[in-house]
This record gives sequence, C-alpha cells and structure tokens, in this order.
Amino acid sequence: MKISAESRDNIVVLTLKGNLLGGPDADSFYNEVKSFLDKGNRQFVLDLSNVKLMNSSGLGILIKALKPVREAGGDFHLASVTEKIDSLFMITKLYQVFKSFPNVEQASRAFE
Amino acid sequence: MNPAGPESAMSVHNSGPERDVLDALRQLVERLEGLRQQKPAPSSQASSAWLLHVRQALEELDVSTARLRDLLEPARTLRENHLLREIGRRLGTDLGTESLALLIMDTLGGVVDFDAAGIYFLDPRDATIRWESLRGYDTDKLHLVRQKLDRGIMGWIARHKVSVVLPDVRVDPRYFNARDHTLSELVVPILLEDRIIGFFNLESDRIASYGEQEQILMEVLASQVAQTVENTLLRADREERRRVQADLKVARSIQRSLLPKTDLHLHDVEVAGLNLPSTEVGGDYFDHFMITPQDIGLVIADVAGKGIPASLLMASVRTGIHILTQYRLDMAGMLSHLNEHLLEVTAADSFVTVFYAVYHRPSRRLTYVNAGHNPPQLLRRATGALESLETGGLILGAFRDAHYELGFVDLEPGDRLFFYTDGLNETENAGGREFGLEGIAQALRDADRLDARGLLQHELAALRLHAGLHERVTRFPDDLTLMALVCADE
Repeated sequence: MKISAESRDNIVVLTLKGNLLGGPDADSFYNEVKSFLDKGNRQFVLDLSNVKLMNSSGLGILIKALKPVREAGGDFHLASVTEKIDSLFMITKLYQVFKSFPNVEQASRAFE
Repeated sequence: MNPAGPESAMSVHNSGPERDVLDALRQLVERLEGLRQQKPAPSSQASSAWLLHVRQALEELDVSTARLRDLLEPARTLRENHLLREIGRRLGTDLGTESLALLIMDTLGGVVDFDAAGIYFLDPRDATIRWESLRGYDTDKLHLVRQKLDRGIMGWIARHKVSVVLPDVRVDPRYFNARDHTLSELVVPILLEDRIIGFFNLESDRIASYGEQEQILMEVLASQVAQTVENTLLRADREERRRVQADLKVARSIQRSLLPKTDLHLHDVEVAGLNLPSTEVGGDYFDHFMITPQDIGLVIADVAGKGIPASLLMASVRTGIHILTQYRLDMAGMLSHLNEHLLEVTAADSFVTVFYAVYHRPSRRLTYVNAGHNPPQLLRRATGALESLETGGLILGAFRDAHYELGFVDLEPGDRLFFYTDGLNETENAGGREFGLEGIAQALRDADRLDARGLLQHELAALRLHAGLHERVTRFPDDLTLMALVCADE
C-alpha cells in the first residue's frame, strides 16, 4: 500500500493506493496520521478510490487510526469507496462510525 | 608419543636430504663465525674481499634455510592436516563450541608456536566476554588480559573484522600489554556471517613468530569454530520450532474442544458446523447449544487476524457468550456487554464479528443480533428466495457504547439457514474472482435436498472447485467456518 498526503485548508487528504490487508501497512498508516495530529491537524479525508482489496485486518488499520483522531476532537471522512470495500463497511456496520462521501471534494466540504 | 600420530612426522629431518641440508647449514654457520673472527680493519684493501665472502656465505645460508623450510613443510602440513581432521571429526559429534575451542587450544601447540594464548567468546547482546580459555598469562594479570578486548588489537579488529599479525608488538600502538615477554602476536576473529562472536589470540616471546601461514591456519580454525556455533544455533532453533509446533498442536486440540463435538439432530431441526483454521489455530468460532429444550443458541464469529492472538480472543468470545447466556439477558443487551468486555481485551486494531441467534423450536422463530458479521443466508423452501440476516449493530471490541438491534425471522418447514465466515466468500480463484455471495447461493440451491452436514460438504466442494483445489484439501488461505440449520420438511 502507498500513502500520499496533501494538506488543504487544514484538511489532510490521505490517498491510499493498492491493497489494505494489514501487516506492515498497519504501522505506516497509523504513524502518518499521528504525525499530522502532532502538527495540529484534526480533519482527515481518506481517499479510497485506488484501494483494490481490503480485509478485516485492513479495517483494523483504519479503526486503530481513528481512535487518536476522535480523542483529539477530529474525524475521518471516507471518499470514493469502491463497491467491494463498500460491502465490507456495510457488513461490519462501520458506516455508523465512518462517514462516507462520493468524492474528496464533498468529503472535504462536509468539514465546513 | 603415538608413533602413528603427528609427532612421528617431526623425525623426518633427522635423516636423508634433511641431514645434508643441516650439515651444509652447520658448515655455513662455522664459515661465518670464522669470517667474523678474521674481520679486517675497515677501509683496508682486504675489507672489500672480506665483505664479498660474507655476502656469499649469507646468500648460501638463505638458500639452505629455504631448502630446509621446504623439506620441513610436508611435516608441518601433516600436523596441520591432522589437527583439522581431528576437529572435523569432532564437529560431526555433539561437541559443544567451548569443548571444540579447548580441543583447539590443546592441539595447537604441535602446530603453531605460542607462549600465551586465549580464546574468547562474546555475548552477542553487549559484546562482553561470555566464555574464555587462557594459557600462559600470569594469574595476577588476568584483569589486563580481559581489557585487551576493548583496548588492544581486538578492539581494532572488532571494527575492521580482519585478522592481524603483529611481528613486533613494541612498535605497534594497537598492542595492549598484558604480558611483559610478548614480542609478537596473532589475533584472528571468529566470524559468524558478518558478526564477531569471538577471538583467537596467540602471543609469542620471539619477534615475528607469525606469518601468513599461521594466519591462514588460525582463520581456518576460526571458521570451523564458527561453523559449530552456527550448527548449535540451528539445532536450538529447530528444537524451539518443534516445541512451538507441539504447543500449537495442544492449542489446536484445546480449541477443537471448545467447538461442538457432534451435530444436533432433533426431529424438527438439525444443525451442523465445521471449522477449518488456515494455520494450526484460528480466530473463527461456531457454536450450537441447547439453552432450554425449546431454545437452541447459535453462534458464528470471526476474530480479525489469524493464529494464536486470534484464537485467544476467540476463546474469550465463547466464554463471554456462554456466561451471558446463563444470565438470561436480552440478546441486544448481551451483545453490548460482550462489546464492553472485548474492548478491554482486544488490541486497538483488532475486533470480532459475531452473529448470535436463538431458535425457538415451537414457534420456529429465530431471534438474532448481527454484530458486523457476514449475514447468514436463509433459503426458503417454498419460494426458493434467499434472505440476508443483517439486523444488529457494529462489530465487537472496537468502539464503546455500541447498541444492538434485534432481528426476527420465522422459519418454515424445509427452510435452511447457512452461516459462514469471510474465508468462504473472499476465497479467490486464479483469475482473482472471489467465491462471493453468488457462489454461496448457487451451492445452497444445488444442495437443497441434502441434510445439514451434506450442505456444508457441498459448499466446501463448490469452493474447492472455484479455487481449483484438490478435493482432499482442508486448509484454505483464510480461516473457514461454516454452519447450517435445516428445518425438517413437514
């Protein structure tokens, strides 16, 4: 998995590419989020348009990173969730926790 | 002395061509002594002729010495070979590294000259001396010997990882004096791959005792020692793996004992389940048990992740469900309790999906809570329609204050309910296509006349066919758990 980050108007857009299946990706994503939190960022948009595969360990990665964000009073907004990953969020009912938007634009605007 | 041993080789120079060379040498020494006594006054006419004679004698001395060395060489090689062979032989036995080092120390005397010697093994954690064997040092100077490791040539070698010959220690600033008589020194590191695990250190009271040959020999010995260390480590590693494997087998049998031992066969309903972990132990779980003679408890659960951590959490889920069932809590409240309990014991990136249901036999009503689990599929006998049992709430063990909703569904005679974990629908074929809900549904429909156990076997067969696996394969890429409830036909 590759992570690229971009900060616009205090909103951090994290773009994930590849597969989110746990393993070594877990730490790199968590550390990325933590480093932005340490810089004072609180609002995150997670662009999932390029994530092909995700399993329960991959969900675990997002859940783990969400915790410190919420504790700091911030939030994650999901953007461009593909059909397959959408069903994973449906089954686990994680849409009760993660707000999802059709694209990065709308996910960012929802923070305003 | 053993006449067949290496020492017999030493007698070689007492006869034959060796004697001729020795005689020649003796004569040369006498000639030089004579020349020394006849030394003329400097810058006299005789002095240049005298110098010519001396030079000639010295050249002959060189030639004879070289000849003698060549003649003695086979004897020396023989002794070296004997030492190496002996070490090689002992390597085949269960000789420990330290015993090998001692053997080398004991046998080395016949091959290389030394007045003091040390073998050191280092502790890999902090590079201090773990084990040592010393010869020829004053007992009251042993503390100095140990300092050689940091301050002497060994400290230098630790950084450069090559062996070093010091022909004259008095002129080498790297030498650390722990013995007053020492004039030359040879230090060879014992290297395991790129790591220094010890040193050989030889000291001699003579100048230039050690040359390339001694250096090479000691390097060979050092590599032999490194080899035994490696073998010992590999053996320990193998034993450790065997032990872990044995522990896993025990864990697997404990885990198996947590699952129902038999299928449930009642006149109106039957339930069967199977659990195939992808490693020795897994994080999946199914259960069916009689709460009352009318009520059957049904559980399928999946812990995120695999292996031992997942299996421990799975045991915790099972205990939680069985205890909470006894308290007769309402099912939604029960799942909230279980969630709070699991929050305490799960890692930040771990969670559990659980489908919990109670089937009331007289009314054929299934009351259930789906906590983030793959929805069980209900195949209606009358219509052939498929229903997904989704009502419930969030996955367990990840978020505080989760609330759960109850779902209800009334079963009819001949209806069949199929429970599974994501190992089933997510298994891909060679083309990367998942078995999916379509695969599950198709197999369910194809098996609509089979009993509960037969239905599970049919799903498995369909999965193997999809994934291109042999019909005897029981280990899949992910943990796999299936359960089926079949209502009897009227």
